[in-house]
Amino acid sequence: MATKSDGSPRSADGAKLHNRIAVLRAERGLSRQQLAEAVGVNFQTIGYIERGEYNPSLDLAFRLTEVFGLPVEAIFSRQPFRPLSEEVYRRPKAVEGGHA
Amino acid sequence: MTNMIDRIPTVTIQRVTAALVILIVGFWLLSGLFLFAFTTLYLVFIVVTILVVRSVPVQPGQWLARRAVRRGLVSAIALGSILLALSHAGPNDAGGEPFILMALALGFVFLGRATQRIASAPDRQVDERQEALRNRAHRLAYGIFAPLAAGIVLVTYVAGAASRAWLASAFQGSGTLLTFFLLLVFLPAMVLAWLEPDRLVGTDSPQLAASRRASLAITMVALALVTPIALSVALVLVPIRTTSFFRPEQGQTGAKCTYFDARAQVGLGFGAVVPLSAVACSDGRTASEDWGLNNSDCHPNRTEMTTVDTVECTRTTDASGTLHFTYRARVRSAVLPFLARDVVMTLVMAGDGHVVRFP
Repeated sequence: MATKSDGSPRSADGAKLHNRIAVLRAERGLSRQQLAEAVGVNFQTIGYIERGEYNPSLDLAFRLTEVFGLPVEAIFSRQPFRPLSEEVYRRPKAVEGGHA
Repeated sequence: MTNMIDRIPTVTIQRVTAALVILIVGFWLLSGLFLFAFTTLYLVFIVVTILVVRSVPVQPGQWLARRAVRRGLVSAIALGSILLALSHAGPNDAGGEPFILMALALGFVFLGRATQRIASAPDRQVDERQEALRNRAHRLAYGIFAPLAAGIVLVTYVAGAASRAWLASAFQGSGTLLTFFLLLVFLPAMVLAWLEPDRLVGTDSPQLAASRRASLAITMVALALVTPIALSVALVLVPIRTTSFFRPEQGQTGAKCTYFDARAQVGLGFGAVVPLSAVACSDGRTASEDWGLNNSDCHPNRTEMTTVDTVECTRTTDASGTLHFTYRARVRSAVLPFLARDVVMTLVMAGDGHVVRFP
């Protein structure tokens, strides 16, 4: 895997990996330290992942999904995430539109 | 398999290099132990301080968490390393070089704290991001160091006798050797400090535990910083201690001779001893120097963290046959060069051999 100038790995095409860890952590009332202890990394690493300055390995990504109990695509994406509020409130309208 | 990876090998490049550095510095210290007792003591204190600081597990503070500050620290260490390489550090040249060494030692303490010593940490102590960062830092450090070492070898291989003499004069003393080994050990940490982005600070980061060891480490670092400054000030404030005596000496062809011996000690710990040792004789009408009152005799006996310049070294005999000798030395702190003190040694011997003034 290629690395950036700060030593963090990146995807082969150099694209940034987006994630929702900060939001999910806030929802569950977890501090970075608590999440870091849960997945066995330094708390700074959680901060770098949240800021998009480090792309986790597949192993670490799966450990994070286990903590949050969500599928990996709910936490990580190659495309920027839409805000959760937007996803939640647009879904019924889209469904209504589909039925009409 | 995992156990094989996690197991720390007994012989590592860091341990071998550390042993070599300890050996070289140990011999260097032993050779200067008695001549430079206080400087040796201070260096030992610095080493102990580094060990205590290293034993305190802390997150880097708000300042060292910033990449810009870390890069400033790395630049300062690089500058200090260049100065050390070009200096003539060694027990026979106790000028400002020990100060550079001490400043570098403290710089490495801060560097270790800034990087949490990830650069030398075994795999089991780092997570995957830190491991990737550490490995990249080592790869880049090798890329910097290997051409440097290869360049030195190549130059010494192809250089002619004249060029080798130039190289030898440019890199006299142990400063270059020390710099080489310091870079060998610390370059990965310097690269790592340069690369790592800004760290998290604030309420979500673990706070420094107010342990006894942490307090001790802070006190020792403060002492290490304050000591050279306090002793430089003492150089100016503490009275000069002078011991002297003179006694009749057997002269040639019945001349009346006197042996003079004086030592002026300036400063506490960091200071200098300025001596005057001579024999002057009188034939009953004129006093004259037998030995010890020449320009080549005006030099300090011992200096620690100071530089000594000869301001005046004059010998005259006036019309009445009286011998006058004055040796004025300026002792200057190597740490704070604007702090200096003059020591004056005077010898006046009348034409009839009577000692008028000494020292």
